Amino acid sequence: MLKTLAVLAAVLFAAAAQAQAQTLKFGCYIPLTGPVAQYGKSMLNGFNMALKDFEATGKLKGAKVVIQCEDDQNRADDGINIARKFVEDKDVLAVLGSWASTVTLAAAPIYNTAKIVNMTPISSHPDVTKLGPYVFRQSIIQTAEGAANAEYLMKLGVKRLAMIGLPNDYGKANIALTRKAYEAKGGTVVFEEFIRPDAQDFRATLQKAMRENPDTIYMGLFAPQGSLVAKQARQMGIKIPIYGAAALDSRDFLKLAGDAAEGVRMLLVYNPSTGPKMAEFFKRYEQQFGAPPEPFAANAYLTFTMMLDMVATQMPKVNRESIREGLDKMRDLDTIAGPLKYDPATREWNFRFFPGLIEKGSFNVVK
Amino acid sequence: MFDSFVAGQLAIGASVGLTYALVAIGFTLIYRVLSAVNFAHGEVYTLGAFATLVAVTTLKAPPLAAVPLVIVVGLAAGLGIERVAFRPFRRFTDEASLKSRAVREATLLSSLALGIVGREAMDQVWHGQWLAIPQDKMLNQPVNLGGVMLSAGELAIAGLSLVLLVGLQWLLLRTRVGLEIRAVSSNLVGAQFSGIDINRVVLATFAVGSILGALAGMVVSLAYGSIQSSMGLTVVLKAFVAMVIGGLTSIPGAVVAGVLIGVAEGAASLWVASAWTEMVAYVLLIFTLIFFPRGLFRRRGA
Repeated sequence: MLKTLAVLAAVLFAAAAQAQAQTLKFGCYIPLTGPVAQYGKSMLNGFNMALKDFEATGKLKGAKVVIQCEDDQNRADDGINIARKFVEDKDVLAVLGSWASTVTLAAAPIYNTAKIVNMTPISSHPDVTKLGPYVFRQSIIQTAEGAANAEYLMKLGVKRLAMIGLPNDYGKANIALTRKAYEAKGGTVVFEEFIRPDAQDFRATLQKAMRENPDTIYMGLFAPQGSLVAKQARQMGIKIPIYGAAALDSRDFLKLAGDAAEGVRMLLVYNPSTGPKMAEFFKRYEQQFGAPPEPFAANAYLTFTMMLDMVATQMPKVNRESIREGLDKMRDLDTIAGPLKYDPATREWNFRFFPGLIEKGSFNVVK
Repeated sequence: MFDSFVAGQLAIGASVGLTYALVAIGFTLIYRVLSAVNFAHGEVYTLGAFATLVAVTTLKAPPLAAVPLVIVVGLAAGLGIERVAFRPFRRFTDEASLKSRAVREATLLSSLALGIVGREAMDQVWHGQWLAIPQDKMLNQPVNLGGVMLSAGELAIAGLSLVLLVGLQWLLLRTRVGLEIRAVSSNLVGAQFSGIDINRVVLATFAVGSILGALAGMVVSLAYGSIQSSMGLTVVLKAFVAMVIGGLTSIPGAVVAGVLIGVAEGAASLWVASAWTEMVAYVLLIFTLIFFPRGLFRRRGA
């Protein structure tokens, strides 16, 4: 009798607790250790900032939001293991991640099969959203970046381009799509080569590129390699302009390349110079965490804010399926990156690219 | 066919190869004495680079004034590695254990494990960030050497390799410590019976080898300017390959093999994309093992 009462009490208590406070749990997988840990940590801060800001709006009506971030170490197999774990956890409503396209491309199919939304705030490989209806992206896509790169390069009057890229999913897509768009506009790519990401001497590649007599060097690289290429190019006395992928928009690049960063051009998206809202986000981040963020913090903030906004309208009946439907019904959004539009046919958001230039140690939008 | 472009590619390759050689010196020294691979050597190299960074940024020292700090860090790391990853496997002093391959090869894993712990610890301290040596402290000033343009860093790497190589040969062949090291290296049990303090010799070897590793990290980081906690990983694998090609116990052999790998990578980049030159070292390794199973420079009977 006593036992029955206890069980009854427990059930009643649980029901009461549920009526009082709904808990919305999100999963996330990002690199928190390993060679790109700092990018993942910036993202983690971005997620937490978004959560805090959203709690302050009062739209949650007493519901509690939990985001559980797991470390994928920038490795596809770890991303897959985390995916299996989140899929098993019935409380997880949707998952955010990862940073690298390679990891997202490996893990997202598992979420898609389990009918749980995986939304990436970063991974820009064109195939990501083609994996299935449960895979979303709230960031730039390489196809769009390639077209915008081509436009900027043509505007700069670049005729003969030498391209250097990373041999991974990101780098290959970046080089191929920029090249395609650039050649379609009449430009000539005179040299294309993929480098070893763990090497630190890229002079052999630069020397080969210069033999083809290019008028600009394009780097489809991230800051660690991009800074070495830029530094070594200047050290070798190469004077032609250097142009980088949008991924080079990182404080790391300025810090690592030093003087060699001066005059490097690239497209800017998540940069404080693109608009007052973005600038305000960067300022607030610095106040909270003591150092300015990597641009990926802005991606994370923007994505999680949008997710929470959408989920708040569905409360209290939120489940894995309703999130997919809700995300697919969105059309217009006002964000820190400006007003965005969702194209239901391609299932991509259109981000605006600003032509940028590094001058006096900072990124600036070219008017 | 042999134009300035080809010469340039080979010269860049040789310069890269010298960085492999520099790391291989300390690595091979430790192998020579214990016949055991020290995979934590890469982390000593990384520590040397970080010590340099601390010296030139926090302590605002000129680049070359970092040397004492780097030596202390290398020394501490070497003694620590010996104590944690190698000493426990020498606690059985009977002849069978001392000669046992299994016991020696166990240190391959213990040093690898210690290296991973060290790498992750550095990752925590520096948040996995890429850090830069300030430009005015870098050794990248162009030096005109009879019409050939080299950077100060390249000269420093080449100079240090040469000094360390000659210095070590002198230490091994002309001093009493060197004699003891060679005795332990050729017959551990016999050396013990003739009254040599094995622990002392092994400690001395680790101290010297790790100081060399840390100095290598210092010069390479000053030449290239970028530092990260996993930077030792690639380099230690190349040093390992250089050591095997050079005949396992020959330090000059490892140096020549290191440069050879670099030049071969430079030559390969004439025909294939840079991303593919990664396999050059391993192709060389396989060919060496097939055609020169004892390495290119191993002395007869050694």
